[in-house]
Amino acid sequence: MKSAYLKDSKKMFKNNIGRFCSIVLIIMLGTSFFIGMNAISPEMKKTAEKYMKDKNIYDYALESNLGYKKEDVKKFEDIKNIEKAQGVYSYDALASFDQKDIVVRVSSLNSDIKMNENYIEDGRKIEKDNECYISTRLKQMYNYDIGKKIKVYRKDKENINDALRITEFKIVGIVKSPIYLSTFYGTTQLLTGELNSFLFVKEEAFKMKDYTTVYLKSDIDENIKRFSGKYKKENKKILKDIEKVNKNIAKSKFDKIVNENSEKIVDAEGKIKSVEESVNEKYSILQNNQLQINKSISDISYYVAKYYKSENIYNRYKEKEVNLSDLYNNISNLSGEKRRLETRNEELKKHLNVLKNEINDIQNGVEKNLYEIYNLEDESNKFVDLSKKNYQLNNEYIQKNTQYQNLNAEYESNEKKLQETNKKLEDFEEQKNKLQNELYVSFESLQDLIDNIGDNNLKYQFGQVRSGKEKLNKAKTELTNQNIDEKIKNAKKEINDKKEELNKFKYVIATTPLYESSGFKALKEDIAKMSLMGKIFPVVFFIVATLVTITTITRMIEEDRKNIGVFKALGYRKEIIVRRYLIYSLLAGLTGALLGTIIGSLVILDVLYVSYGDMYDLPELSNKFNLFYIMISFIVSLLSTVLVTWIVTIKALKEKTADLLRPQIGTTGKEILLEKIPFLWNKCSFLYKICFRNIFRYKKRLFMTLIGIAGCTALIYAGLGLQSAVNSIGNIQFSKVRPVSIEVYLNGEFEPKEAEEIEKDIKQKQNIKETTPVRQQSITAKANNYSKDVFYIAVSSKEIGKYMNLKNRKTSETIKLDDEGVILTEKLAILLDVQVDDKITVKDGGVDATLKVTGITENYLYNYIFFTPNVYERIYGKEIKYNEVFVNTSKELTEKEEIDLSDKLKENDKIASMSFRDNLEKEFKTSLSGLMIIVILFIGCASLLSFTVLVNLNNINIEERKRELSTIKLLGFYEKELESYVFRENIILTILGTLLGLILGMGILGVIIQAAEVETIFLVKDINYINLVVSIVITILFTLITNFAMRKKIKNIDMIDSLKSIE
Amino acid sequence: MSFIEIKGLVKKYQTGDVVVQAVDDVSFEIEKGEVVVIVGASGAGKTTLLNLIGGMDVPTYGRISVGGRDISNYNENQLTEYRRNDIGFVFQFYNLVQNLNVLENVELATQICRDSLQPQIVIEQVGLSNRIKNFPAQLSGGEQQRVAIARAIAKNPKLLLCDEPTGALDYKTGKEVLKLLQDTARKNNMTVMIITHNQAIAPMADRIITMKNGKIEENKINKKPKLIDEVEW
Repeated sequence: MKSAYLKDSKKMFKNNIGRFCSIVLIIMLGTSFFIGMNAISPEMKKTAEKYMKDKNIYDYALESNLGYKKEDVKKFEDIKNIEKAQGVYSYDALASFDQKDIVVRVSSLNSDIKMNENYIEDGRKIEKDNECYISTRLKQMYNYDIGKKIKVYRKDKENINDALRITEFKIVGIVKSPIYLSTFYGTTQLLTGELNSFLFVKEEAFKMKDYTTVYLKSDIDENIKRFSGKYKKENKKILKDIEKVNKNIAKSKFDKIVNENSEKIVDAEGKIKSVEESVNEKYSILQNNQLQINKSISDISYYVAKYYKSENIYNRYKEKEVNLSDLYNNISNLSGEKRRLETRNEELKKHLNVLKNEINDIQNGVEKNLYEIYNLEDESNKFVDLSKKNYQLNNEYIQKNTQYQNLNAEYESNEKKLQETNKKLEDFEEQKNKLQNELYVSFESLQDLIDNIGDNNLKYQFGQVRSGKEKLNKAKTELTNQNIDEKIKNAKKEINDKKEELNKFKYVIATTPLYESSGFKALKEDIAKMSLMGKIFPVVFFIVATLVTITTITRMIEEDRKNIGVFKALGYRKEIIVRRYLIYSLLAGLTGALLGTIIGSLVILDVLYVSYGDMYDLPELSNKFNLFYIMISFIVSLLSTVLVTWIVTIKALKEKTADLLRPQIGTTGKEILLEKIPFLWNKCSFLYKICFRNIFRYKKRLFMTLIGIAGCTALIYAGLGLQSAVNSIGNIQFSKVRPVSIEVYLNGEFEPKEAEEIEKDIKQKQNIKETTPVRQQSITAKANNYSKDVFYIAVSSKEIGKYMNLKNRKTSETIKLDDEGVILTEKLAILLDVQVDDKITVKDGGVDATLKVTGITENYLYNYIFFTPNVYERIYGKEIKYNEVFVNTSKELTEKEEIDLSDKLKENDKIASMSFRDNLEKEFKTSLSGLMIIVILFIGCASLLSFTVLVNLNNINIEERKRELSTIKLLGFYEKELESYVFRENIILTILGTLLGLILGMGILGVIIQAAEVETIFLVKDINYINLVVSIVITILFTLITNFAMRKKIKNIDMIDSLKSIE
Repeated sequence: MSFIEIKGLVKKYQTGDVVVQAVDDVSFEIEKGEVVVIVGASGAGKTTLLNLIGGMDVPTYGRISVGGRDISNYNENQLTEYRRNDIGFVFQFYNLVQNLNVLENVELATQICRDSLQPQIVIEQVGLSNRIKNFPAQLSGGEQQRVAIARAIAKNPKLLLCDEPTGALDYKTGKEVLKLLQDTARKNNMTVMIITHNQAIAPMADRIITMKNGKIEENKINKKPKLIDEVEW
């Protein structure tokens, strides 16, 4: 190559170094963002797949409340298609952190079987029984670390030593476990129910007999991707077999336990019965003896009467004896009658209760139907149907009610008889005791008479009776002292309790395939969502960057056309002329793409991964350079530089050399559309007219500027919109929508009266302002063929306002909760596609009710249905039972006060746990910090791009019109006038671009929110005016800064240029 | 006192180590209403002289006084003010704003100065009333230059500076343009300076200044300036 050409080329590079830098910068921004945002989803997926494969993640997790024996694990192994099974002990316990308790799950390691292997992030392998691994979270959030010790304990009745031989462990490693893919580790029975962390120890540290969990690995090809549909399909085939074995194991254990216990109960019942019988026998023997003695007394009196010839003596005794035996008979008859009545009434009572429930059901059914009829509009079919149903129900009601009345009458008369019998019995008993006493007393008075007779035989007999009487009395006292009746009663009660316990006893098993486990599913979903985000934001970004690059390069070559002409005229070959432009653009494109690749792959990808990594426990990214997206970036970057250069240069070269040497014919002026509207056009000042003409003169630049500014504004607006939508969940949900200070969860369900007692207890504690009982429970809501599992909150309409704000988000009007129907949260209404006054159906077990929607309330987190206790009764047909208490405190509690209060509240055994609003808020905000980083990244990059685009386009604008500007300057325009001559156009274009960008941004935001949204979260899509203003201000600010930077360039325009011939 | 007084005017340009003395100790005077033609070969320093008088550049040494005001020490702002109100420019390549029609191109100048003339009247004077809505690209070279002249004289300047006004025009059109300049000067008593390398034009002037190597070779007054129609080249 000729050295003159080389020199000129060097000069061209030197002259265009600023342009070079701006192309590099724009391409770098575009590619880095494109690569980072797009690569995160596939790279995270790859990392997760590799992690799951390398660490031999389980395919199925089995759980049973009855546990698994070693031989059970074997049974699983024997299932066809199952390769290995691993039994694991696990036990939930507490560990302390900063004077509070956290819940950790201690699990055993099974190093013999290669499954669910831990990824040791730091530290060494466990060697001794008293060593453990901890989760990364225990280190990051709870300050545990290698070398420290961790002590686990329980605070409830359970004895931790029954489960664990060792309770204090030395931490030797920090691990990630494939069992816990998500940092939401799972649920537990302890404290708030959230599992905070996990711990792995050797099997030897456990004392438990049975494994709590068994993990299985199927024999499907381990290279099949876990997130793929094939994996799910293959594993689903075996699921049934596993479920069957799991059920059989549990069932046989269950049957064994039930049988053993039932036998015991039967034995115990038999024993009690024999005891009862023997006691009864004793009583009857005593009674016989008594009667015998009474007979002997009357016999003795006969002899005495005979000796003293006094009939009276005998008669007196005989009469008493007969009376007594009559009384005994009467008493035993009455007792029989009493027992009969009692048994009958017990039966009646049962019967009556059943009837009463049936009648209640009928009544509720009728009421429900009536309510539905009341709410019917013009569905005459349904009306007839309902009326018919009601007629039938009415008949049934009458029939049942008659039966009830009859039985009840019998019951009541029986009760009366029973009372009478009891009275009689008491009377008889009294008479009996009195008479018996009299008999004994007068018997003693016979002694003198017998002594006078001096008959030894008689004396002997007398002595016999006396000692017999004493013995009998003693035996009687003994029997009563033993409290046998009481004992029998207690034993019976005990047996009944045991029976009930046995009836309630159930086996609970779970067979969870990996693809159904919550962590795995959440991860899969999030990865899919991320990829969608990558498709929108960065693509817009990249398009803008590419367009600007094309404009810049085209402009550069046009400026240089005279040189092209000169070289062509001098006879340089086409290739040589093109080469330098190609090298220039190739260098710019490559440098930009290379820098973009590095920044995108190492910085942006990492930032995104770390922010998502907060939610998932995955190892470091296995690969940071995604070749696919890097290739796309390089191709697009090079196309927009090299190819454009090629096309533009070749096009220039095709012109005649002479034409090239002449100035390019500038775009000619034309009347613009606006001039056709003289009404507007004439109102414009002269300089504005020029301005509008100029804007429409350079159509390409107009187009580029609009796209550039609009794209950037759109990105900024969408980023801000996402940020504020997510923020409003945290900020508004907890402070405005649901400001209840503490939600206290009860240990079971309580009738209103019992709940009141609990409330009283809560109110006695410090700092409590007010409380109200609520029932919160899951329910299925249906409408328009949609069905959603949600929570309902049943609460008094008078009280709800103090704890939650039910209001329309748009109008801020408060919505009143009443007995007419239910209030839905906004997202639920959207999911079910219902409006106010529409009807929804709620389903819970066998319960099924249609209700009117009376309001739709602002709410951002989870879906709820609100109704009153009265509506609850209408749905369920029974009185409400509460399971939760809403508590408001009189002031914001400090952390210490919260701990104190929670400790004090837990003293009440009816209170299970509680959650404090500020803790929920904090947790929620932490969980969102990842998303926030992404949003900030968006806004930052979009701003940077916006700025670069503006500077670049302005630069071109001024370069292109240098001659015009210098002429105007020569004509005597002041600097200010000259600036406004140029910038007025910029400002108008910026305004137009911004407006366009806002519209575009709203569209993008809508799509992104749809992608980011999950069912339980409501993100506001509506126009946020603050964001609008902020986006506008940011863009305008950039325009002003750019204009300011351009001022120097305008000032330096040389007027003398205008005298020169056009180059 | 003369309308333009130039004394000991020097302009040096430095590019790298080379110093070029474009205007080298030039002194002359011009009376009001004169039509002056400055002739010289390329590189004689005519344009630099014009730049200095027109307030586009400042002299290295020397004094320029126009209408009794010394502009050689003016700052940027004062120079702009001076160009704006006192000077009219006519360029070789017309330098019309492509995006403005005839009327607007003239208005571009009149909008910014104090005692401007009515644009429509000026356009009529240059004979373009029927092209008033046309854009430069729709006009011939002569017509474009006439627009440029209209733009210059509409400002009602004290001094009209023309840099090779016929350089890009054919013979006939060039004559028309020169005639327009001459007529305007006579009618409005306007001082006109025309720079040209074409010696043939010189007879039309009241004063002919010949430049060579940055110096004035000859400064002669033409007692009997010819009308353009009589001038031939």
